Amino acid sequence: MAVSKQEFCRALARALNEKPRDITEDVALTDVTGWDSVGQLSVIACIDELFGKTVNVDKLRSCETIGDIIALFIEDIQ
Amino acid sequence: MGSVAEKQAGIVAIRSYLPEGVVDNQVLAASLQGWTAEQIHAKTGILTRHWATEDECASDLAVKAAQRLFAGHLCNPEDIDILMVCTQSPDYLLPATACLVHGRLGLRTECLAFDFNLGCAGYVYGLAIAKSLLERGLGSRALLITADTYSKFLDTGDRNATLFGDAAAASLIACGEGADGGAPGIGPFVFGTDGSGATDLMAPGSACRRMAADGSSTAKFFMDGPKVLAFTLRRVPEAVEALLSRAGLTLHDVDLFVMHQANRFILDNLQRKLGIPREKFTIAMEQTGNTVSSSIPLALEAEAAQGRLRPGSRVMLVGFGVGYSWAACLVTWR
Repeated sequence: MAVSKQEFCRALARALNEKPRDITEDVALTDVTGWDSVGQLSVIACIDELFGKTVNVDKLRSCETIGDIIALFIEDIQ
Repeated sequence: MGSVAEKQAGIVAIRSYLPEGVVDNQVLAASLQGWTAEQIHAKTGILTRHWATEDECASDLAVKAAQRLFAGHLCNPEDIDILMVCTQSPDYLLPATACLVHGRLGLRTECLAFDFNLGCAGYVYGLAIAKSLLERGLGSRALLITADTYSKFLDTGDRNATLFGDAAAASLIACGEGADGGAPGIGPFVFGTDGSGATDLMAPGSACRRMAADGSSTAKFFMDGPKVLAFTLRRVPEAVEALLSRAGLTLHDVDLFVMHQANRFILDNLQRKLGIPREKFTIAMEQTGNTVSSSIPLALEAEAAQGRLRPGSRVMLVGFGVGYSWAACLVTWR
């Protein structure tokens, strides 16, 4: 199912227990309080629910910004 | 050929044992930075878990579970000619825990007894082994015992410690007439292994390979939660679909899905992904935590006690976890 970039950011914000306005493409993951192993669990589940795809956890952990996460799933984003 | 077809193995009874020591979230939160008791419950779905004492080991739990079967007059010790113990926390590397249990239960010497080392997929693998032995006439009454004391590996300063509880379950498996016009009591099966994930969930230094640079060994538990979740969301739905296809069934033909009771987060996501109605999906780990290979038999025992399993109920069991290892089967309840 195609999802907009904005919808994806909102979904990530929910998964990371952050305010939507604090999760934008340019945000560094080191600045996201919820970006720990528990947050990663929620992001993996969120992506599975949105795109039906299993996350490559090593690639997810190599991301430095929210934009990097978006890039991993750019094919599924409108 | 006809006599083999009539001899279909099935689960006759299950009895469990939980250590008396109860550890609640308040106790664990005191050792965890940034996690309250409420957050532990919210993230895991677990309120309490039972942990063995320092002097209590897997064989102790196993014996008590088996004695509950015998006390219920469901079978006699002298009738058991197959004893299988699934454990990843044996009393010793040698002798096998099954031999210790055999001696303490006073089983007859004409008895096949062995351990097998599997975690959360262990119960389903055990059913396959028991079915194979019984239906080939290598025994007549099998005692499949799952028993683990993961608490002995856990670091209470690690959030993963909140997930696990100790337990044992003893299942009597025997051949008899099929409950449903000849439908197999146990089967078919689907199995899987992915050794590339072996180090994502382990107790390094717990046996013969030393992991620390200084030559010391530590048996502390390690789990990469995100990688285990990714594995689960990929492999469990595949296994469910493969099993349904093998059995010529759809989701709607299954009366109850009993998955390994890992934690609430994983179970909720599996229920969502598979589209299983809540009333057909067992969640039964709030008071026990993840009891490894005992989680499925504990859940079956609880569902039977609540009247949610009746003779002829078609149940799907799915175990998955450490290894990575996974297995699924159908069981016709008797």
